[in-house]
Amino acid sequence: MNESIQKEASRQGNQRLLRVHVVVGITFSLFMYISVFFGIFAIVLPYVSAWEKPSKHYAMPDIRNINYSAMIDPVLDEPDYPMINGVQIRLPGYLGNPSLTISAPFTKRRIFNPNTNEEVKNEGKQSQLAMFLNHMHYGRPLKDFGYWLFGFVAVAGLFLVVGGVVLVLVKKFNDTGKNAQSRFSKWHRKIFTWVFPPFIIITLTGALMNIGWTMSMPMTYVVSKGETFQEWKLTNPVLFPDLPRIEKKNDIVPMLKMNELIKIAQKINPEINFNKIILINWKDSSAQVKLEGYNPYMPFLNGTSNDPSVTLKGIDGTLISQQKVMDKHWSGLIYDSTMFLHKLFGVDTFTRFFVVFIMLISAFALGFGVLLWLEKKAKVFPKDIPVYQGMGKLSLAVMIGVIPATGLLFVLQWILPFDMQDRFLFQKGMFAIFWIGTYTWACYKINSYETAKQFLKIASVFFIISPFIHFYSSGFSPVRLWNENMGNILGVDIGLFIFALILFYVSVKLPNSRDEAQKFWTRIL
Amino acid sequence: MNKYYALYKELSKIENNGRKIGLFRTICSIFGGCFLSYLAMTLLVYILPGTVGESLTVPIVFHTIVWAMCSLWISIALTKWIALMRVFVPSFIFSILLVIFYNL
Repeated sequence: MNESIQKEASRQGNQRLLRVHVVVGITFSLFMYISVFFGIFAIVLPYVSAWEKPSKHYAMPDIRNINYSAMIDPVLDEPDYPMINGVQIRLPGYLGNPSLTISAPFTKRRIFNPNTNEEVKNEGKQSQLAMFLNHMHYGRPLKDFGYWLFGFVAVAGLFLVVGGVVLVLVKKFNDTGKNAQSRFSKWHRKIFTWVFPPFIIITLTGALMNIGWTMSMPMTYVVSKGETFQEWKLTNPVLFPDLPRIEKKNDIVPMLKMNELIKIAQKINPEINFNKIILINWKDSSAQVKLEGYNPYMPFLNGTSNDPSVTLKGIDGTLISQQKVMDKHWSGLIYDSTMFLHKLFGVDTFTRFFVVFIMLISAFALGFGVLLWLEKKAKVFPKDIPVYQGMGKLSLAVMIGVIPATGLLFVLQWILPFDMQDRFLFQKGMFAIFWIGTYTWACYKINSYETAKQFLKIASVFFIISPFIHFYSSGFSPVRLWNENMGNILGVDIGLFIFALILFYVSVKLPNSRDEAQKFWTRIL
Repeated sequence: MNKYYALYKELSKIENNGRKIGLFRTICSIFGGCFLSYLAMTLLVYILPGTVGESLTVPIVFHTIVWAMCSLWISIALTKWIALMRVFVPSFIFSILLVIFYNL
């Protein structure tokens, strides 16, 4: 008796495992796809944000010969520049940004071109393409609802990854089927078996950033014995400690030149790529300068909360204290190692594109999962009638329709004048209208295969004209971009062009009917 | 008493197959899983060494994945009764431990 119950339990357990994976998967698939799709653009955000702005069209300076003093010291010498609350300086090169910015609370941010040491005017809120793509990645346009929705989607994603791994371990799958359904199933499993470890970490930190911190309120209340609801009040002293308050001596003394200070810091810790300078009590004899950066020799351990730093005296540059990567508290190190793959602060181009590749094939694996479900639904109908299915149409519009809609964003970026009123509103409004429009078109056309090909063709047109519009409107030809060392911007143009060609090739190759589709998928997968 | 026994009988009935999850298991797994993992992570804050500020980060970071795991574990229970027990028994144990740690 007991044995038979155990057998039944394992049989039903396996069935439930599969069933719950399918139900949760299809419910959240489209949101997960949106998150992954825009996440890919968010990974290349440093390049897009340089591409989108005329004010950032200059060469990435060689960090060894930047004259920091020429930009920073005049600003600090201005008699009414407010330094009482500290000054923050971002050095060129951080997250692909070629400019140097100086900011202090309650003042305008000052932005400099390190090649000419001249101040430049930023477009500000007029140009937010990269930011918008990043916001779409985590539901920001829907405000709090979006955060909760995408956070919950991330939890569902974790559920699916864990459940999927268990499924692959306990259930025998048959890979030999000669139809599209079996191929989708095979590649859905195969890809995620390869990429689930990074995927799980990235999803985990995504869930943390969207709902984890917010949900920690009751926990914080309990463990602090009713002291506070806000976890950051307890964790910030460990993760992001405040700078010490230093009593002012109330005198004015000359400070060491910025170039000298950076050189001294570099000598003290040559492993750090410094990207941020914090000035405390500047021009007072108690002045301190804290130089923070990223240590590329210790990936996964620094970059997010752990910024190795060197603190120097402002007058003569004597070392006050320094923090190395491993000096951080262990909770900070764990926090940074989970966040590393998601945030990718300070990593090189190769790592960035490796993560792009992982996420790209994950997007395909997600797509195969949805196709697998749709194939199962369509299987019951005879081959010669087209299947009109609600989820199929919605997936078509969301998953394929988003590509031309995003292409439109890139086209509008350089077609609209930068001084246009409500420029960004118009840009994102057009994006939304186009995306909804693809849903209308998907529902109107009976043959989804044909519609998918059309969407991809429109997308390829959008993506192929956007670099040319960029060349024309910005006045920077590809040759000029190359000659003036703007490889990062030219790279975006080339990337868009190649992406368009791939989309066009795919749109031509994709099948036109259900019958062709079966042959097509069994041939290529 | 008979009414409760009938309810227990109803909940612990083994279904014919596992092709339907049902609302009962769904609610148990989403909310029960969240509750259970939350208690577990709160307990972890006490177990990890260091001050509250030092040990709070890691449980918050890992709460969501523990939630997902608990939900999965609850949702594949053989009967509704087992699903219910998977929520309440560990939650009860964790709650008792939490009360002890809180007053320690």
